[in-house]
This record gives sequence, structure tokens and C-alpha cells, in this order.
Amino acid sequence: MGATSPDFFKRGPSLFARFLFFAILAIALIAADARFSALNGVRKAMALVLYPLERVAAFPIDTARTVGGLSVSYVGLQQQNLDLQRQVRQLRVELLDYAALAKEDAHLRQLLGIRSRYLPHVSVADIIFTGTDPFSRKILIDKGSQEGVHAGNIVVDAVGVLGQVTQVYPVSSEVSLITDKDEAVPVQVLRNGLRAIVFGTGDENQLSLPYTNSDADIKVGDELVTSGIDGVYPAGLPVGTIKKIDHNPALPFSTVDCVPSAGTDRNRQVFVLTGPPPVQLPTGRRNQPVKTQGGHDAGHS
Amino acid sequence: MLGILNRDEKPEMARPAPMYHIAVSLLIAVLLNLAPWWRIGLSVTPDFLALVLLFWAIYQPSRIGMSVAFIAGLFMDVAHGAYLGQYALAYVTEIFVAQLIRQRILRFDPFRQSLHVIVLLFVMQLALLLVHQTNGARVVGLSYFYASLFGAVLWPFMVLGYAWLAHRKTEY
Repeated sequence: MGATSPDFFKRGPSLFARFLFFAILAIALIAADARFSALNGVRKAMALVLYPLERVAAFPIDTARTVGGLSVSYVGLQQQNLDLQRQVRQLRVELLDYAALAKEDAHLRQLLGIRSRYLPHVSVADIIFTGTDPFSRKILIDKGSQEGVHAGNIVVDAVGVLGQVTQVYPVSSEVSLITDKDEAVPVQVLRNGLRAIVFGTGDENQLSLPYTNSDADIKVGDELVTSGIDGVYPAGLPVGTIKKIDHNPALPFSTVDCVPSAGTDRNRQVFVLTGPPPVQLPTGRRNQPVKTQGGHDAGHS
Repeated sequence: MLGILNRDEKPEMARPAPMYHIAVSLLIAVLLNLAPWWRIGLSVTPDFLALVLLFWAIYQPSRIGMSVAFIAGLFMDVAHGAYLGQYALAYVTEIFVAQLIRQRILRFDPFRQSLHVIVLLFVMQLALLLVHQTNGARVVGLSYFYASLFGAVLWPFMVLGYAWLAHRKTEY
């Protein structure tokens, strides 16, 4: 109908006026969302609508992978089975040791009155969506508030820390990866216990330690684990490995680059350490990871 | 024929496309946008929704305009975990510029149109970039804009494919 009417019959506001209206509306929304978490209800409702679409969209690719997986060779499977059995046996032996150590540790901690460092309940989640947006390092997983996931819960994979739940929907939740620009993780060098804070750079394979003293005892290849001093990340989870140290005598801090241990590109399944968050979440900006405390003494051990 | 292939036929005189064509194409675009392409190793994918919105805004401007683009953008914001309104702003800007140069685009065949489409998708990504930069994001490389090129390559196939589908239907 409108397509057939010439321009001089057109009613309503001009093209530019309409653009201005929508642009201002969008900018107002961005501001409202960025500064105040006023729109979380709307976001949750929309996420619920999107959830089935996300499942449907993943279906063909998942099916293709399943079908592709059916054609593996029998010999290969047998070999894999043997390898896995060997691995299980080895892990069992290590677990024997672990159980004894855990008991001893719990006993000692009780004597000293320190709270337990053992991991809370772990639930397995599938990654549904990793944004195609190169700016935000966020993933969507298929466990939400119905399965007991809370904002602030930590997400790990088999090799290390992935990130933190920043937004919970009923059946899914959004995880900000530690490589995201706003994320900070308090860490410790495994070798000597030196404390530092690791920041995401927005790059998938790079973390940085901006506040490391130039005389700090840190070497390429050092492994970093969470220190647990913020009360958000449990202590002892692998975060990354130091890749490069740039020592500039003109600056008080060295530039230290680090490769994250965990990666979303490597696995489809992640583990959420569920349970209520140990610290009260700050109200304020949406999507902002839980702030670490004790950020000022980074670099001093 | 919807005036897509025939240059003499005025595109404005084209019959309006059935509403379900628009709805189904938008749904497919959303699904393609949400598909986990990274699992099969594709890291740069075009924004299919931006492409389909552009298609309808150019060929059926009375049906699809900035309001639909705005709502579609809000859903993409939620899907990407972006600030609510970011994609909405990008899509609205894209459709606005498309409607400004719509008459000019329609004079070309689909292959030459895709050169205009590069610019329009580029404008869309630029709007996204602008919001990110004001929020203090890191600077991204040029590879960010490969998505625009990729989308523009798909454009002629989309136009010709739709013309073929719609044409085939009317013959029955």
C-alpha cells in the first residue's frame, strides 16, 4: 500500500525526524542500561523469548557433529577407551592421596579457624552461544536461576577459570569471561605466592598484569592461580601462564602478558560453581563483574 | 516479479510482499545470527539480520522500516549481552541511510547493489563501534569489518534467490 503512494502523499514525520526519534531512544536506553540496571526485567523477558530460538539455531550444527561423530573407526574408539581407562586408574590413585590430604587440610583448618577452600557444588552446563561481537567476551550457558545459578558464580572448565556469571535468566545465564575488558581476577604466582591482579584485555588469548612491580619475582612460564582473597573466586584455580615480561626502566611497573589456561574455543561444556555468592553483589552497573577487593596491594607480596 | 530483476518496471509499483515472507525471512535471519558458527570454525560471520532488514527496507519500504529494525536490534542486544539499545541504534542507522539512498540503489542490478550494501553494513558496524568506544572498549583491527564484506557478497544471491522463489510461487 505505502509502496505505491508517491512521496507527496506521504503522511507522518519525515525520514530524518523518525531517525532522530529512534536514535535518541536507543541512546537513552544504552545510558539507562549502562549506568543503572533499570532494564533487567525487560532483558530477562527477551532472553526467555530468545532461548528456544538459540536451541533451534544450534540444532543443525549439533546434529552435523553428532552424525560426523558416528563415523569414527572402531579401532580408534578402542584405543581411546583404553587410554581413558588408563587415565581413570591413574586419577583414582591420585584421588586416594587427595582424600587423605583433604581430610588433613580440613582438620588443620579447623584447628586454625580458617574457612574451607573446597569447591562448592559443581553443575555442568553447555555453551549455547558465544557472541560474534569481538568487543564483549561473553558466553551464554544453558543453566539459569532454576538450576540454582546466581550472579557472581564462577565458571570453570577442566583446565582453569573461564569467568563469572554476570546475568542470570530463568533457564540460561550470561558469563563474562576473564578475557573480557572489565574483568579482574586476583591471582597468586604458584611458584612463590606473589599476589597480583590479572585483567582481561578483550583479546581471547591474552590477559595482562598491569600493576606488577618491575623488581617483582616473576618469570616467563610462571603459573598463576586464583588467590581467593576477594572472596569471589575460590583459591587455587588455574588462571594462566606468564608469556612475556617487558621490563621498562622508565616505568614503575613491568608490562606482563599472560595466556589464559581455559578457553571457550576448546570445549562445549563448562562447570558452574553454583550456590549463593560468597559476597554481596554491588548494585549499579549491569554486566559489571563483581569487583575484587584488595586491589591496591597488587604486586606487593 | 516484484521488480527486482526488471529494470524498466518501477520498483515502487511492485506488489507488496506477503507478510509471512517477511516474517519467515526475519526469523531465518535471527536463527542464522544465533547459530553457533564457531563450532565449525567460522569466526567471522555476516550479520544476517542486518542484511535481511536491509533487503526489505529497500524493496518493501512500507513494510519494514526503522521501527522493526529497532525492535530486532533490541533482541540482538540481549543475545549478544550488549548494552540494550546498541544493536538497535546500529540497525536504525543502517536502515536510515538505506532509505536515503534507496532510489539510487534500485537503479543497479543486484551485483552492483552489493557495492552499496558494503557501505551500508559498514555504517552499521561503525555505529556499533562508536558505542563501544564511548564505553571504553579496546580498538579492534580491520578484520572486524570483514563481516561487512562477507554480507555484501551474500547480497546478490539473496536478491536473486528471493526473486526466483517469489516468481516460482506466482506461477502456480
